[in-house]
Amino acid sequence: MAQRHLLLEMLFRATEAASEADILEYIRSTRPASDTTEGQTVFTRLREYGLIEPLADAQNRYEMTEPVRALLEHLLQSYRVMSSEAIGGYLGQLERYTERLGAAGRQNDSESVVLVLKNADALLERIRTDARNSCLAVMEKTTEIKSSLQSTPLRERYTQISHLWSTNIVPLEEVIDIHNAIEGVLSSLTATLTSLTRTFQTDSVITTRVTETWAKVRRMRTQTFTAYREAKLALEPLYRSIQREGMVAVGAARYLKLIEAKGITGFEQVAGAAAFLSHGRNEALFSDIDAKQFLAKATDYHPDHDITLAPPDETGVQNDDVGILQMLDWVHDAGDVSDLAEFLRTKIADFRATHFFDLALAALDSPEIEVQHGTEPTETVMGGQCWYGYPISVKLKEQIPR
Amino acid sequence: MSAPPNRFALPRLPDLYSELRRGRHLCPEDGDLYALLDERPQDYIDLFSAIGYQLTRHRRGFYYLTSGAQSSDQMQRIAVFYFVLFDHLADRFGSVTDALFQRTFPASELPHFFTERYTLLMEEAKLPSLEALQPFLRRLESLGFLSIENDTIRFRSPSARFLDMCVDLANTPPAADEAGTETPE
Repeated sequence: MAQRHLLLEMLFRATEAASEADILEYIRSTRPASDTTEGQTVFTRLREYGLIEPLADAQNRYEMTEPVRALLEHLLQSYRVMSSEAIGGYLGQLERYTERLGAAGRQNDSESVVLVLKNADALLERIRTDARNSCLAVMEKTTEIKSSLQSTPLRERYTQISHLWSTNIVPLEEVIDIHNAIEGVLSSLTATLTSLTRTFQTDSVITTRVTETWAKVRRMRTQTFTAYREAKLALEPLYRSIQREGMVAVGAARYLKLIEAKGITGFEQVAGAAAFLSHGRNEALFSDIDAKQFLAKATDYHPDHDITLAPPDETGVQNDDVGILQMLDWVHDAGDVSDLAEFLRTKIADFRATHFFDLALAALDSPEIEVQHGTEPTETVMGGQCWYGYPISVKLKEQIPR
Repeated sequence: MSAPPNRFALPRLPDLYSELRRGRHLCPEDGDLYALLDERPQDYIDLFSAIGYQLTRHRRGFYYLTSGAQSSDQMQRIAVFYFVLFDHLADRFGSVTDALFQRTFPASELPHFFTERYTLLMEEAKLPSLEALQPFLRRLESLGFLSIENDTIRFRSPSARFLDMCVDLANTPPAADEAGTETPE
């Protein structure tokens, strides 16, 4: 059998239990040229030597025994990781064992109970081993990725690490998550075990086996949690660091595809992009000259006393309603306005500098209004701030009936 | 009673206003002007806010103005320039951010016309050739996104705004008509 290492490796790497015909085919395809032993003889020896065993609940299906698998894992330095698909398979298998245990218990069939418990033990051991292997695979791969950080392009590294995360950390999480389906199956199994101890309380063989299965459930849970914690500790820093960089690549690729599909205006369809790409300019609010003059005045302002800001005038017209026409009406009614800012402050609720600039600019552009700059600076409260500047006086050029 | 200090007695305010207003992004490399801004950021932010501008301090320390209004045509073109560059860097380096800020790029070796796909995207941004890119790069320099010396480009920290845009989009679920654009190829 020592010459049959290729056959053993093939059995080891088989993703599911093989039929006798499958195994005979493995034997044929891996037969050394010097070996003339019949395939059927080799198959029998595999069973006699305890290298393979029949799957308890399947007809004519065989798989490698757990001790041999563990040894080969060590020898081949290859870790069978726990995938989400594998967990699905384990889940179904555990459910079936639980049902069969319950049925055997109800029928007082101790022989079946022992057989099913043996299979359940093997399955629990497999889950535990897979969890451990997942952890080892993560640590091994993490070291490999770290050693090639600079030479591996971002997209490739992002794919590697995301794959490692989803194929190893996520399945481990599924096993330890107490809200997950597998927890329900394990609870059901332990409840059945409790029931069996009552049914077979005088049968020491059964009670011993049940106790062993119980211990295996506990060990599987504990060690899976440990494996999860270790694997996460190893991979998480790398995963987090690659996340942002990966998002840059993903985002850039998405933008480019959007532009290819919809042209450069595709930006407008992305929430937030317009604000990102807005320029410093806020057109039509006020002119540069006005703003610079205002900023210069703010800089020069030196108050000689503390200023108490008046509470906002809630009785004024809401600022959203105010436009040039409304202002013309007010100016028409008031006649000459010596200080437009102060005048508007009394008219507009929540009066702010931006409203003043808007309306002052409109007044300057209006053919109906004559504007003059005052010579004595005044203070005006706008938007909770006290502004200091030369007042603008306005009056209608002609008393146009309104 | 001593007079309270004027919060808005801010030095070189007109210069800062002019620079920021024309879209300049100010970062530590800008020396005195940046230092003044960074000394009393909140006063500048409040003052600009009072006249309708949003002065933003990015976590990387640079300042810029936004209006929060519609995206500008110029910024859209700049974004295309950056996204093509990021796409190229993601295929070649372990980190786009590190490659962007730690390397220099000879202008003639920019990847924007390496492939037909990139060329078409650049045409969409009205930048059909390497020659057309030259004045555009000068514009980017004047806005503070990069510096050019001996025809070699070095990207400055404000370029990070476009990295942020990509991360934001990557965190947004794809629209129904955007299928297949999510994963990095």
